Amino acid sequence: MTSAPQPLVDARDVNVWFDLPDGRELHAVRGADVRVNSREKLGIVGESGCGKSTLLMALMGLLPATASVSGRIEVMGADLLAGGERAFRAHRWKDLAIVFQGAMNALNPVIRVQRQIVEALELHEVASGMAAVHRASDLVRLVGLPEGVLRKFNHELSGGMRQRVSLAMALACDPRVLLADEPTTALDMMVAAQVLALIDRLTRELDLALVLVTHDLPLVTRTCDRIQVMYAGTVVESGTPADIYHQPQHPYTRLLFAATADVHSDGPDPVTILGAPPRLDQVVPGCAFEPRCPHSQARCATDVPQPQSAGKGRSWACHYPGEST
Amino acid sequence: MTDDQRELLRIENVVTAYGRGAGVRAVDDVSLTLRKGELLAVIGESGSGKSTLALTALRLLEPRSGRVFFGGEDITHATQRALKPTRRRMQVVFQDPYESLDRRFRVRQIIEEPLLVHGLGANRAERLERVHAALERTGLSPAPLFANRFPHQLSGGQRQRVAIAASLVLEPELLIADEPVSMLDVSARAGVLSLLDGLRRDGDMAVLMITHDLAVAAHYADRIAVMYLGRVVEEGPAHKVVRSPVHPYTRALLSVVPPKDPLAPFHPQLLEGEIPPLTAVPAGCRFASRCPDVAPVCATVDPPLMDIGGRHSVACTRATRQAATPAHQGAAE
Repeated sequence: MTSAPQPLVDARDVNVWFDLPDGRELHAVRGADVRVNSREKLGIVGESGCGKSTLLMALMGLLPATASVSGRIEVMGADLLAGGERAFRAHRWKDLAIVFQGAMNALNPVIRVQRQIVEALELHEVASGMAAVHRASDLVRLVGLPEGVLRKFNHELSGGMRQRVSLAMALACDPRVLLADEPTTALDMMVAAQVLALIDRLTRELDLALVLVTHDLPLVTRTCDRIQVMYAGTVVESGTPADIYHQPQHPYTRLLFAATADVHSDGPDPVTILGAPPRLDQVVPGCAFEPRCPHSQARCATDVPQPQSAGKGRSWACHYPGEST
Repeated sequence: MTDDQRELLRIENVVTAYGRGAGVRAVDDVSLTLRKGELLAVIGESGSGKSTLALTALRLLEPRSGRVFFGGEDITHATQRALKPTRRRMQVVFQDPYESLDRRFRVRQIIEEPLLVHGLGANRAERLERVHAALERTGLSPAPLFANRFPHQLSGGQRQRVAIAASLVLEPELLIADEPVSMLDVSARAGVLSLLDGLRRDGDMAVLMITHDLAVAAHYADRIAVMYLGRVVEEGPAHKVVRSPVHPYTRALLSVVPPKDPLAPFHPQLLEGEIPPLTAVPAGCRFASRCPDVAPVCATVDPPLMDIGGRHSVACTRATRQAATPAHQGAAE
């Protein structure tokens, strides 16, 4: 019997609450699972406020002090939530690295790119002195930038170059998993395509696993092997891109696709999903999507649908799956 | 002659520059026509000049050369005072409905303000009636309910509808929408876009929409103009530009947008590098340095926008050689 390979990231039933100034709590992530296998590309898709970025920050252990996290977050077999900040620090950047949407804010504006990368290398004891300088040059070339970039300041770089520099920094400690939170959203069309192709190449050349968080459905289904659709802090559906596009089981997944215009075919007019997501500072008694769902029935307002698994990472959380729109 | 009567906005060989002297030409020799009831999408990346073009059309910027006609009237060098009555007829909706609405004002006050500025509406009751009518037109119904809200009580899509209502209350003939849905969630985009689409279909209002989203342009626009480095490189009926693009830049842009179906063929054609700065515009064709189809001729010949038939124009020496009368016969290989 061969056991399944151990996932690089195995997070189960993750819940994140934020303390609000008035003493109430905002339940941002509600029992989400994330599993990433070696070399796998996982896409997490959802609209603003669905908890996708908070989930990434929870995996990195980078949530602010006002947040509390429950569940289990295992990275390469180590239980990080049980181990606390010390355990997170042992894996952050070394096994799990992250790039953000706003590369403008991720880089220090008053030091040159080279020192920025060298500092990261020295801090994490990857290299020091001249070795770190050489490693910085290698990293910059790896992300397709000329070495001259090392002598520049953040403001002298274009958006695409900045995002490449943040990629170089994320790769400084040879991570196994790259988390990317809307890495191309702030970029121009062609630059976004270049950065995405770069991420794709890096995952292959460096044997990286990828977790790509975005609101862009065509982008994520094209880039990733497996997709998780999030709504109101919960994973409502997961499967392969073909599964969720051709056989969506959750009405929210289907509506998200229907709301997206396709430049390559003359489909019907994109639809609007009426209403708004529920407030996460309140308890949601039934299915969170119920108020906006075209197929909701009495039970949806009272019972929280539990995820149903169809094996091979395919699952959905809906009382009436597959109802066509 | 009917065409002339339908014409609302005409931009002729406009050059708009920033800075002293010759300055930096953000828009360099652009001509466009927008007819009543038409939705024109201007597509381009940062630095393409699309926003500068919109500001010039609104005459918030004065062009260095060329002419701007609105409703048949030459407004190229009209003074701010002379422009005020025209300004009522051309309105603008910005990208970010979180920034563009004054948070201290109720929706009613936000929409009433333009009426006060232009001295419209005899009294408060009449103005309120117009405010309610504008809200209803944008789908914010029942209007009295929304009129009393503050922006923070509205979703992004509702805020953008308020911004549109504040334009509609003046009954403009031209609405310029600068990335009207790029700040909105996917679920709210279609609503705002079909609102804009409906407004120009119902009345004679024309919409000039600036966007970087080709799928949105393809779906809602009648015509698409693609800009690169201060120039329009391709312009024509939306379905032609999207289904049979001619300019290599348009073709490349379309190729990098993934289709919705993850199993549909997808062959992104990546361009090298980025748009050069406006301070270093290349000689010859501006796109030559990144063009996958570049030929020797492109280094020297700056191709004009040429009609290739069916109101479809392209600025590419190689692509237009067969289709149109070559402008530079001697330069062809």
